[in-house]
Amino acid sequence: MPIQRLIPILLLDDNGQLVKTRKFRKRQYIGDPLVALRLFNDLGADEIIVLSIGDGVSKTSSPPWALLEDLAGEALMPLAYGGGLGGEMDALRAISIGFEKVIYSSSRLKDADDIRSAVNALGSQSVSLCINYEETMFSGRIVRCHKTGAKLGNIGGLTEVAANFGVGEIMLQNITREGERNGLDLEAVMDVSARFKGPVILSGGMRDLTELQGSLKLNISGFAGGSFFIFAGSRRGVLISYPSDSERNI
Amino acid sequence: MKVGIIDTGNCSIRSLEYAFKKLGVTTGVVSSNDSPMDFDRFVLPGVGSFDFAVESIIRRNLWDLIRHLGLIEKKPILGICLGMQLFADSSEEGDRSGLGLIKGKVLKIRPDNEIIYKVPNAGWSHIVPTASPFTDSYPPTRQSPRFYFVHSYHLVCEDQADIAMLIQLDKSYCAAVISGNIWGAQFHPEKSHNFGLEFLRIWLES
Repeated sequence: MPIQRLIPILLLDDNGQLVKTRKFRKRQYIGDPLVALRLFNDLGADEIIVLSIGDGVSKTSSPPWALLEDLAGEALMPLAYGGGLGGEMDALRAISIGFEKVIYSSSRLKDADDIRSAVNALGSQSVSLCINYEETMFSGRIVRCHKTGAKLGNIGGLTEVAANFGVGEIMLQNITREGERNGLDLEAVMDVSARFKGPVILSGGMRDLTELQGSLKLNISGFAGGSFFIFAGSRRGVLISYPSDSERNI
Repeated sequence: MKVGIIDTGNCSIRSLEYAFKKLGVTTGVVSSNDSPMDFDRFVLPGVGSFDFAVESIIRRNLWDLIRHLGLIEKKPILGICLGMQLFADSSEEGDRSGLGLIKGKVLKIRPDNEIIYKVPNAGWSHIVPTASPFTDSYPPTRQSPRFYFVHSYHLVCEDQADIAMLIQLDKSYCAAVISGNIWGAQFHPEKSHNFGLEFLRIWLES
């Protein structure tokens, strides 16, 4: 089996600055994404996910192509990009400037022509679906549109739809735990991993190295996160880090 | 030393340029059959689906050029990911013929247990070197290098001697090939940190 991936997420705002959110809100400015990428290059990160989150409400912001090209031009690791992507042409453009994968949000499944055309042009291995979900007290895990908050269904149902569209990878993103470092929702990712044939990665809540080491033998393709790699200490001081091979037991 | 990167339209050029730059090697882009051809070696990168890439190569008038470089001029050519698969005679992923630079066919990865062994195979894997120069470069006393893979199909060589590296999933699959001047890597050396740079250095010195 491939080595379990450990993936820093770089969130870009409208100005191309690196930011970090908590529960998809409360933004904190971090710095220059290119500097962060160079540090992750040096630290040997497995992969980087770049997500353009715009102002968080606009539905039409297009990908920041010039910045993406700069990032891809210096990356010695695989890159995935999500945010404001159209169909085949945008997907091909992302690949041609140096990204390995494109990521579409689960809110795009309602009108999935773009996802279908991207899969057709790139092959399923280069197209991921990000399922953003919340944990609720009474209704369990609910998938929501990350911008409007509209309820989209449950994780199992959307996993099935994603599989039918030929998406190659699923990224589960837990909104409730995002940025909180209060532990990973392993139950959710194990459930999806048992249903979906492609790789499944989990984002949201990554606490510490001990938690990752304890999950090493589980059937989970990888973990993605932001705070874990960007902050140090309880006061959330910015300090980019990445575990060594020996710390990860690989 | 100057390396020509063949731009099929659906591949990453900049990442390769950056990787070769780190190795101190000059690169240029070959985007059609009338591009300048003052290169010592060529790389055929590729991401995407087989037929889509074949059609793109034909549309850019690169098909005959690549075959000529590989079969007649015997220039060293390195295929990366889909680029390696395009060297084969055919692929189960599409109806189009491959370039026919390596005898073999490309088949879908079909593990018995698809829940444990995920397809596409996406991520970092250690490899097993099976032929020179990799058996010399990566002796058993050293930890085998790891590379980044993202693929749903694998190359099956007609001549087993062409296989230069294996990747172990549910069973062994071809990870790299060497057939004379034609080299292929199923993984992305340009996205595999120092392990990948070392692989490119070995190819440049071959």
